[in-house]
Amino acid sequence: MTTPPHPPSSPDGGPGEALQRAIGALPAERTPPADSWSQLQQAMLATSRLSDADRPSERARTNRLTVRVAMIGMAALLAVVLVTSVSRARPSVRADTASVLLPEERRDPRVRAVLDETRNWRAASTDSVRSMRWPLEARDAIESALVATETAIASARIALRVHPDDAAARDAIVVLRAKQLLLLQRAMTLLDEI
Amino acid sequence: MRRSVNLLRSIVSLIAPVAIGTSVLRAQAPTVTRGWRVAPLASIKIHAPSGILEVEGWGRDSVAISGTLASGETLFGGGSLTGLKLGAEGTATAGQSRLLVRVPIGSRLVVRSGAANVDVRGVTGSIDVGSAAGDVVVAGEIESVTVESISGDVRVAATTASIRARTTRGTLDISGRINEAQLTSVSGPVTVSAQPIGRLRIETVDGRVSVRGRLAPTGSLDIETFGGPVHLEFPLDQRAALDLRASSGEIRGRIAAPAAGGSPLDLGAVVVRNGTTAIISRSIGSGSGVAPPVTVRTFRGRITVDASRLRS
Repeated sequence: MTTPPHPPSSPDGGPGEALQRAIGALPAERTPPADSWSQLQQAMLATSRLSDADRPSERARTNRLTVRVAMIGMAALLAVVLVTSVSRARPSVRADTASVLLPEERRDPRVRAVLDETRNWRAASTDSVRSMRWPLEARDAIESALVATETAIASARIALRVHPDDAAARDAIVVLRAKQLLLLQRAMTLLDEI
Repeated sequence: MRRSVNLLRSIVSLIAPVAIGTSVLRAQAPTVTRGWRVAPLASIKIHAPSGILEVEGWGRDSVAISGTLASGETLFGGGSLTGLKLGAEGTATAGQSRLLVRVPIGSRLVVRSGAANVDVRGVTGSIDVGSAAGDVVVAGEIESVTVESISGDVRVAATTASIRARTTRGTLDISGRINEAQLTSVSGPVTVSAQPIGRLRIETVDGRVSVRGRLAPTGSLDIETFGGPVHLEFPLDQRAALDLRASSGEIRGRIAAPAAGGSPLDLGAVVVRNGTTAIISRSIGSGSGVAPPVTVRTFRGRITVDASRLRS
């Protein structure tokens, strides 16, 4: 890769000549007047701006490439995080969506209790004072358990739609709801004790 | 430019030893040693936010704590002859606590742990351990055991009248001589290896269940899973009344030939189907009296029974 040539100097001599003039204008005394120093500083500043902005060097290209790669990486990471969080949140959303519940589930007081307890859990988890000492592993395990039970309930629900007289599927839903309720209640009791 | 680099190097060389020294000082956890006089059957509650907690029964009427604390944690303790509460509190900022607590053998012990791994041995009174994220090990001859860990593993090796153990995704590993046990998990595997097994109830959603041992004549086995497979291993002369149902799964197994003669029983061949449900309802083994019931219910899991090999 070749380095592009310097840009042509401006008609009035440009910042480089301005620097030379400013140096030449410096008096011979040990402490030059304040306006001379300010002229020198302005000239140096203009020179440095010229070399940084107007010279598209190898380093600048590398920097641009690095920035692009970093941006692509960040975008990919963001996409992964979004997909993961959406897939994780889906069962919870499903739990809160009454439309997927079977008619008998809507009549089951356990379902309302579980939904209330799930809301309590979410509120407690986001309460920074209450949940300050709750280990992340434990929180994650509870979320995973909720997902596992909700997935199992969905599976039993599908079986019940195919075979409406499947007593085992109906029992499984009831048992799993009871498990969810107990899980949330026990977990919050234990976490509040530590 | 070169001068700037040299200046930077000098600053770094000055700061680095100070920073390293500070971190070394922080990492040196404070050592604690303290004791309390208590009654032989005192109730003792221990708190451990993080690190490692060992609790050991000893033949003295006192409680002694020793070990090191993580930076940011402090020791607390106090109570009376009949009840004592002690442990670490605060949030660890560096290092990890490692505490050994010695308690009277017959103590009634309660432990609450955040992320600390807890190991209890040599205590014969009741033991109740609750941990959010730590692993729990309990061993010895114990009046009763209650263990709960939300995400950690639980291991109990005990001779005890009663066990209650619960976890979500950790493993439950229970062994010893068990009169009565209730074990619950969500996705964590449950393994029981006991001689004999009294009344045992296991519930899990997706955890794998494995039970190995001799079921006592007055015992019972009751297992309920949603998707977790169930594997039972009995001695070949085990007497039991099997009531196995796999709603969308299958049942397999091999039962040894009766002592009086005959051929081994292939359970897969005697499965009765009711729609998608596989059912086995029959007794195995020989002898007189009521056979201990073995009830397994699973929705999607598979049930296997092996009572065909000689076991101790």
